[in-house]
Amino acid sequence: MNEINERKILLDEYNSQFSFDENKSNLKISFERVAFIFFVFFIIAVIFSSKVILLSLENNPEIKKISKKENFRSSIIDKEGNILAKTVPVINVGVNPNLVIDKEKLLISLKLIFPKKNFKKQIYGKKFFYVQKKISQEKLEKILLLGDKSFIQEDNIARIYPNGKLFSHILGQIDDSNYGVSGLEKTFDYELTTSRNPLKLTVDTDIQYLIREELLKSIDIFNNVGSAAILMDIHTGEILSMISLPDFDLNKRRKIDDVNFINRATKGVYEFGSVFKTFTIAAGINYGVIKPETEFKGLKKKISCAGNPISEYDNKIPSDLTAEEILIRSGNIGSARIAEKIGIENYDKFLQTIGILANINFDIEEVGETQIGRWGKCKLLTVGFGHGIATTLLQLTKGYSIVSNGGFEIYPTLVKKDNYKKGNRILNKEVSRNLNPILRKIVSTEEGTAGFANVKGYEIGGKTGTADIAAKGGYSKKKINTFASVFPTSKPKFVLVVMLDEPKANKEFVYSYRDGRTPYKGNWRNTAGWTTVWITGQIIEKIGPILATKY
Amino acid sequence: MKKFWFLTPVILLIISTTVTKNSTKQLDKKIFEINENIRVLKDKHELVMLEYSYLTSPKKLTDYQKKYFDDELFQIDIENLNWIEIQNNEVEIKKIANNNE
Repeated sequence: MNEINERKILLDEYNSQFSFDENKSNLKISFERVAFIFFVFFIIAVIFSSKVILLSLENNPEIKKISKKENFRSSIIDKEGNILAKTVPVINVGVNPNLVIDKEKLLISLKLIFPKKNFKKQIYGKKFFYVQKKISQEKLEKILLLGDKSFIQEDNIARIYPNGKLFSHILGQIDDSNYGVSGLEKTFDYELTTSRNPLKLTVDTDIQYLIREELLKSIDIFNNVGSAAILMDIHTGEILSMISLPDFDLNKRRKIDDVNFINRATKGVYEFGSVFKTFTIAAGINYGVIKPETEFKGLKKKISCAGNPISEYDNKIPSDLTAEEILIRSGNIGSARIAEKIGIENYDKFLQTIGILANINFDIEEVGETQIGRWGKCKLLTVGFGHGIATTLLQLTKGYSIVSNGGFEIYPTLVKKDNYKKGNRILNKEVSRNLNPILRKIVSTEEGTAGFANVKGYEIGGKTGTADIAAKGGYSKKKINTFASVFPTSKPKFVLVVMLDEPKANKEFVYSYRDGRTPYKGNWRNTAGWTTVWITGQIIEKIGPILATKY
Repeated sequence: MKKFWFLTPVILLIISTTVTKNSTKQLDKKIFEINENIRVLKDKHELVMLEYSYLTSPKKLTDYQKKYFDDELFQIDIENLNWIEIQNNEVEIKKIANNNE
């Protein structure tokens, strides 16, 4: 018992060696350190957690690519289910020279299988080399029969485009790692590499082919450096055909860096000239400033704004014209006067509404932006007749669709949607009701500038535009000739806009008239009416029966 | 007796779970096999469609037309095309072309 008491005393003594203050002090320091470390870890945890939450919320394609399937890419099909792009498995065969036992024997064998190729340098080298990429089954069997262990087979994929050049600007290209680098292949890269269902487009292969053929003919006739055309359903915004020339063969998979291969339908930004007068008249009707029969008297042949002259292209244009006649005869001064009446605020708002000034959200990334500069009195006058504003053919097509479809919003698309929702009415319904008959008169009457497009049975209406190409410090003599057509004008369904880039007048070409007049030879006029309208007439003659029976 | 009433349902449940699991496994296997067969058939179908798309592409058809039917095939005027509509056992023929002007 004594022993226990002694121990207890010793223990008490031992405990008494530590003062309460010392312990409290140590404990305080330790707690602060722990709290500090905890705080640091807590901050790190908060940072990482917020980053994880942010990444999960973002729709980042880079992240999506992580779950991408290797060696797979869905097909792309047209409106009718025809395959436009398909991935097929292929085998690449290569040789590792370090594993070759008898190099001379292998060289002879390879010469027998590939008579046109010479592998001597590679076989006596040390680096791996491909004997044949995308090898045929027949040649692969011959190689396997050689029984040489130095051959290495590599499974890969190849993208096949049965129509070659036909859809090059729409489909775009993929790189060697199966990533889309342009066109729809780029925009829908994630969907194409993860979904088993093919990507269905709105385009029609037959129509695309026929339009392309006519645009190719235009090069022979008018020697233009490029051209573009868009055919759109004005009610749904579905693009049935979109072509830009020159184009390129997708099967050859070459790097396209020549600026001449730009997508002229969506990326190229051009001053289109008088085709904009339609928007001036439409804006005037929309804001109740004019009616088709509104008279403009004493129109001058030449006016000036801030020292810059504005004149008529044709001095035979009468001085007294109605708004309708201004559009039919493509009067510059009259259009400028109407724009003046509309005012900057309303005209700017109108161009925003129909999608000319607003950025377009399209299915491919190669899209240009409208250039207009700063609004002012002179800018308003020039934009009124289509100068001083540059936009894309796609936006021009959208604008024409809206002003002729009853004023309903549309979203141009290349990809077929399951559910189509009609857009809201964004323009006064009087716009289309008044405008479509005027567009028809431009094609059907003698005063109009587009008689060559008057193909019987289709009720074509439209407006021509001849614009000089801007050069340093002014304009060059090179032209952009455009024709925006709407048909049938009694119940509009399609808009076809055709543009020729730098066409030249052909003095040897014989123009045949559809109304039986004597053919005309020896044209010197490089205007849309004598170039683009002719081509558009030929296009509608070819695609018309398909459109009339299928759509 | 109490143990018997307790153990019997437990054993029965174990046996029935095993049987169900086994049959589910069999069904899963069958579904997988069928899906694989469908996938292979779909691949084959797409390859046939690719060949079809190539052989019936407008360029090929135009080439065939030039080669074999140069004089026989020609474009029909839209004004000669009609719609045939059958309503209440009556045949109605309508013009496709717009002749409203």
